[in-house]
Amino acid sequence: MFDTVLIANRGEIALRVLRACRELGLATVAVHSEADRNLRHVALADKSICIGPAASAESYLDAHQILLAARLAGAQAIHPGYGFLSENARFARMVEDAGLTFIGPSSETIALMGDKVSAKKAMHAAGVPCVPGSDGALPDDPAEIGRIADATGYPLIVKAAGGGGGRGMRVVRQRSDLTHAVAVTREEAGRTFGNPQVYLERFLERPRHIEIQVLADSFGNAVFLGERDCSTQRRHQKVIEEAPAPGIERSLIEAIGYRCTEACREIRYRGAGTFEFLFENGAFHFIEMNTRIQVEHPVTEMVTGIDIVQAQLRIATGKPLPFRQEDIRMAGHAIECRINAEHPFRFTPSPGKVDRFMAPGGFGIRTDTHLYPGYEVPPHYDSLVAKIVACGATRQETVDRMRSALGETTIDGVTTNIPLHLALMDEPGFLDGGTDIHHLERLLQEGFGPEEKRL
Amino acid sequence: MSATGMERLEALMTAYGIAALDFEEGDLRINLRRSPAKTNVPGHSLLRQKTVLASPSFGSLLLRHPASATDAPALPRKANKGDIVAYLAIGPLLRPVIAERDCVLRRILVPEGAMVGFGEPLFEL
Repeated sequence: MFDTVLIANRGEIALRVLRACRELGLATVAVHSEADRNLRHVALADKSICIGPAASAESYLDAHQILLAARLAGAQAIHPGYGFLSENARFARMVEDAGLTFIGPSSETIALMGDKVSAKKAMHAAGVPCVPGSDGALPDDPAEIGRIADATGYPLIVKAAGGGGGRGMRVVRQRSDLTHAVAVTREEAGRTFGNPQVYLERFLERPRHIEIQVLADSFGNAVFLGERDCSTQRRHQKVIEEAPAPGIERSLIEAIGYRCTEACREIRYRGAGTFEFLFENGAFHFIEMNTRIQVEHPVTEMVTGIDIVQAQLRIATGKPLPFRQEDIRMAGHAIECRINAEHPFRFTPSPGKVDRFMAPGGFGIRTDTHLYPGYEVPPHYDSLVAKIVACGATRQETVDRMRSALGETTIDGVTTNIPLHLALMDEPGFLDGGTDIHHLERLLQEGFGPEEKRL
Repeated sequence: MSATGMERLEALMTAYGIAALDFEEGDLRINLRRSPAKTNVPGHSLLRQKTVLASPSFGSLLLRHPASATDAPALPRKANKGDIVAYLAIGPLLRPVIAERDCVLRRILVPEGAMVGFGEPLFEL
């Protein structure tokens, strides 16, 4: 049990976690960098500690400093949020070894699912469908790799076992490019992820990105909270997410959802998690599991009415899930737009002082943000400054509500990607629903967006 | 990419304290790494201003070693570069606060025993 939670993150998710803790009567400790002294959650936390300079490596990614801060402030649990150390098995292990509670799955589970090769094996064993490909990491022998590739079929994709977030992967369309692609990806994987192992799998040309949200407790109970469609992406980074996924039969979602909950029980998963799939031609193919809260969790909260962060905290205190699968109901539709401080069409970061900020409001609108007038967006971190979530009875109503919300949002002083979102709310492909993960990239290559906004 | 472009990237990395940058476009791959010794993040210096000695880390401020039998020396007092002028305690762990140059500690800015954060001014010089 614990009564004080250290929030090892920043920005909107730190504020989100703080609010959930407060609602459950838990005290909070905010750890922050020098650049983040003025974050809203730092002001609201029961205690706050500046643990290092702006550079993430010396603050939010410094596991030792975070553990020492927990000791100093008397926190018995650590919520890692997303990004930073949230999926670092070594950090989770350090937290466990320090006798504290890591709000998430065990370090063993994080390690299992963090390595894509072992994750895929575990999913195979649990009956979760995967993309056809190599049975584990590729061997060193080029001839053997060639045989595996031929058996898989072209085009294929070479991926780093320790990769994620769209990094450490290469598409190979013909055998003559295979050896070079494997060598380069190995070198990059070793340098970037500290693990040179790579594997290959069939490359799907026009898949959608569909993910299943799960919650599992320490007593073998697991539920899925429906799906999210996160296909609107740029360079493997999600831009818009929605629930439910347009045009996919509920029976397919139900079937894959139950497989995911079975997999949770198989691997003794605990906490909130997300199974990510590529969906093409009516079939799901597992790509990875995120063993943490997702940026886009609010869309699921809005259609299920379940507070996922509170659920994480309750599970971490050793309580059983308060609902069963048959209690979960999805109602209406929800869409989230990620508001980044960046040029809407050139995507160059736009740090600086927010002179004026007025969040959108009204029925069916939720804004998760750490912004306030006078806040300075630092250049050191992710450019996400707000998540605007709209929900409605139908997808069309939700899109209309989002368009209105985006239109009334005022963020002066920094450039944001709101014009991109506004353009997408009127884009025929998006309005139809069911676009693939390359849709936005194709639009941008074709010069998508109002002419004057691209300057 | 031109040499000017590379220099611009390097300058931006320096300005924003970015340690690593990987760039790929077509056949071009650039991997830039800064050595830790060259990192120049704003606010990183212990002596952010010459008139203040700032905390090098976080912890509960102690003006003398817990095992010391004597009281903390009164201020103002001289300190030489390298002298331990205070400690930051986290449980049994003690981290020293060291004078980075010869100076006179004129006034303490934080009460003894207070929890201080990284970069917080501790002494007026």
